[in-house]
Amino acid sequence: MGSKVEKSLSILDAVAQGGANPYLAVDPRALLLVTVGYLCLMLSVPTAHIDILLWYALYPIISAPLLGLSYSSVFFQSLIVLPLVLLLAVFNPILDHTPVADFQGWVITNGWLLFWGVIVRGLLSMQALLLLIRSIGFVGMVRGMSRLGVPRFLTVQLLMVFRYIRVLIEEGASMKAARDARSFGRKNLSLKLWGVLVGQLFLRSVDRAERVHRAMLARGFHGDISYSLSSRSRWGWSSTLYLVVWMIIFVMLRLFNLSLLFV
Amino acid sequence: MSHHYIEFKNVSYRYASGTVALRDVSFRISHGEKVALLGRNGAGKSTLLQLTDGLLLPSEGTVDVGGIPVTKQTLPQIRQTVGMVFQNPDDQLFMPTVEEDVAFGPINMRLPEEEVRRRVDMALQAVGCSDLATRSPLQLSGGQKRRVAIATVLSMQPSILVLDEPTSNLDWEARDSVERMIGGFMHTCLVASHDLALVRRICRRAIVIDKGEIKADCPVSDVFENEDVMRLLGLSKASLSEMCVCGG
Amino acid sequence: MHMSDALVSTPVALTGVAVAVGLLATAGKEVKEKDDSSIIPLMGVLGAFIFAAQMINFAIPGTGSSGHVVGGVLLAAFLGPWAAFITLASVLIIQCLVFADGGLLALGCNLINMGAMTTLVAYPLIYKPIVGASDSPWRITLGAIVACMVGLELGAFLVTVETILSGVSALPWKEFFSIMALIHLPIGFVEGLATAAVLVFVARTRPDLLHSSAHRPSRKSTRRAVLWFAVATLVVGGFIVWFASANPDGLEWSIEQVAGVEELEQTHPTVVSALAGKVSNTTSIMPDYENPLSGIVGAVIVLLIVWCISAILIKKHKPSRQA
Repeated sequence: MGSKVEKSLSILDAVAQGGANPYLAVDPRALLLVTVGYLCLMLSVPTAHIDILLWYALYPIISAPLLGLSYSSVFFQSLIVLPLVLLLAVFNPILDHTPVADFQGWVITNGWLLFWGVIVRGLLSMQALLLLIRSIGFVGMVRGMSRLGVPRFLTVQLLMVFRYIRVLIEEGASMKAARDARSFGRKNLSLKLWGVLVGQLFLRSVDRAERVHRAMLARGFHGDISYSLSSRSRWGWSSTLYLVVWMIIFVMLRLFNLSLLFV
Repeated sequence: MSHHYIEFKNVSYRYASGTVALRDVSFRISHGEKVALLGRNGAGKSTLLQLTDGLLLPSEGTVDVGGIPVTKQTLPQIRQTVGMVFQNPDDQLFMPTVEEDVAFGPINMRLPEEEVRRRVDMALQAVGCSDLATRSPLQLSGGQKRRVAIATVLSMQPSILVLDEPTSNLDWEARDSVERMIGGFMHTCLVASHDLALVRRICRRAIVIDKGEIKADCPVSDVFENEDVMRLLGLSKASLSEMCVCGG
Repeated sequence: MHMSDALVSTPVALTGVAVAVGLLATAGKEVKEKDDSSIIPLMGVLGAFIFAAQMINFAIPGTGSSGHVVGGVLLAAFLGPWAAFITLASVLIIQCLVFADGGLLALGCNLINMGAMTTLVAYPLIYKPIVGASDSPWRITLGAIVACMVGLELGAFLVTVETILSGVSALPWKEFFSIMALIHLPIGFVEGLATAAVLVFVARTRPDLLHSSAHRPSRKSTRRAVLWFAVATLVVGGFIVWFASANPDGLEWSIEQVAGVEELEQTHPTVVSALAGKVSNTTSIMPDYENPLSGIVGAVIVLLIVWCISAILIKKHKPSRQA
């Protein structure tokens, strides 16, 4: 359990605040919109059309350094989707033998095109997500969402869960460690003991929520989360440029198949 | 200006389960006084503290804060007048950044934005944490969290401060600075604490509570002379001298 | 069961988002109407609790350890369906954004498959009628297991539908669904056990915390719920039967559907088709590929060049720490 906890905590730390110094200052809202636009247009490409899909890699490749990240690290991080995606993609070449083209005696089947299509989609969508989260950070992104109109009850909920994840994970870890210390080496919890441990963690969480509620009431909370301190708006010309230019590029890539230039 | 006072008149509190937490408690804390609330765990301290802020309403008797009786209708004013600082800072710092936590109170008071900003800056300055404004509470040390928690209450500009174990779980340096800070406040203070050094340093008067009743209400120095009271608190002359509290 | 963006096409994903948004908005309204401000910190802390609970593994006899509790039925048993849905939604969103578990556009679908099916369907229609306000461990265990299994199976069914409609898999839907359904049976069972373990403990120590203790389902509402569930089963089952029998050659039909997805895009008013009118390049896969390999190789080479150039040219202002 220890390594799982450590890994999660380090991810939480890495993601909380924004990333490295960006070359371009882009407002989180612009980045969110660009990401959504990217995904919508990229995912609308028929899966077998790798020749169109591949060009969408221009976005993460160019944006990464613009936002202060290295594309190679983003690329390697995006490989995390592969196991699950492969599981589904692998059926395609096995089942679909529809021949599509001939290349010097090698028959390329639709199945293989679908296979690579799914992989490329998976990698590119993950890279877009990574760009988003690693450059603005989770808190910045939720704030961006809020300013785009996402209702308060959801953004408050997201921020609060994020705020207390670390606290509760640590509490759970120390409870488990205390139990382990008395278990004479038997590490694995039986279901019943797990239920008791997690049940106790649950009760503690409920108590904590009550205390938080009291603290909120003591500071005048009346159920309605009104405005929060407005963070300095960073929407400058660079954000508008970023949004407009990329959206145009995405649409163009969807309409015109650049790979035909090489045919 | 005698209106920053707390007055309990024959207050009793019974939980829904039937347990009587407080029994016929009466006292008055005057403007500017700093009073310690002493008692063992389970004696009724936290119930009493919650009654001062209207988090609980008395089953019998009345609680009066600064001339305002504590009732369901007066809760918004009460919460503005009484600033309550709880035992665990993690329960009070629930916003993503320090400045948002400190702004939470004034925003709930529906103050305009510039006023909120001004109060946030002043409160953070008063606790010496102005440089921590944009930090997440997850990144703060225990002492910093404690001071920021106090700031979250100061920004509402209360006239009365109620603090529950303000120095628990702090290292000596942090404890020292929190002690000095509370000592410097002009507010009327009610401090529940097991920290005898804190109590001796900043409080003139002590209310001792045991099993829901007030057993003593006297100057702090008297508490450490009175053997009966000390026994109630689980102290003995020997343990006191061990703690090097005497002779201070 | 978290779907990656690779598995959804845009219309399917956006439909999912629209439905999920509708459900969330309803949930927000329902929770607000309760007018209990204490639910806000409770939802927040319990959302964090789900993450913490997932960190603690328990031993499954015979296989080793497990760990992934979705928690929908568990949350609903404490918070009620709507508040639980919001909480689980926030957990799924954070899993996507922070832990890269699931795609961004696919979030809508994931919220429905995992969030709604457990909290809004399995809990009220299965768990509550079976368990009611009882604290008998057997009832709770039975209710939890059935509810979790059904909830997860419904989710698996929806994943199948969404993937097939998206046209990313050549796997015919019948086979796909069988695999998904089979995999999620033991997963649902284990989750049911885990849910029951916690609920039994809480029922023993703090029964007042259980949502059902405040809302005692009357005999009439129980009967209505069971009836509703029976009707739903008949409808879904009937649909599947009709589907299968009307299309004897399932494989061919599926492929046709996959190729026909482009038709879907044409009729569906996407921006692309509106602008382009006739996107002949993309309507059919076959005639297009004259020499796909060279096109693809060309693309890859260009991309590599662009990457080198951009990495060199776009320098950072100061040396920065790579996160």
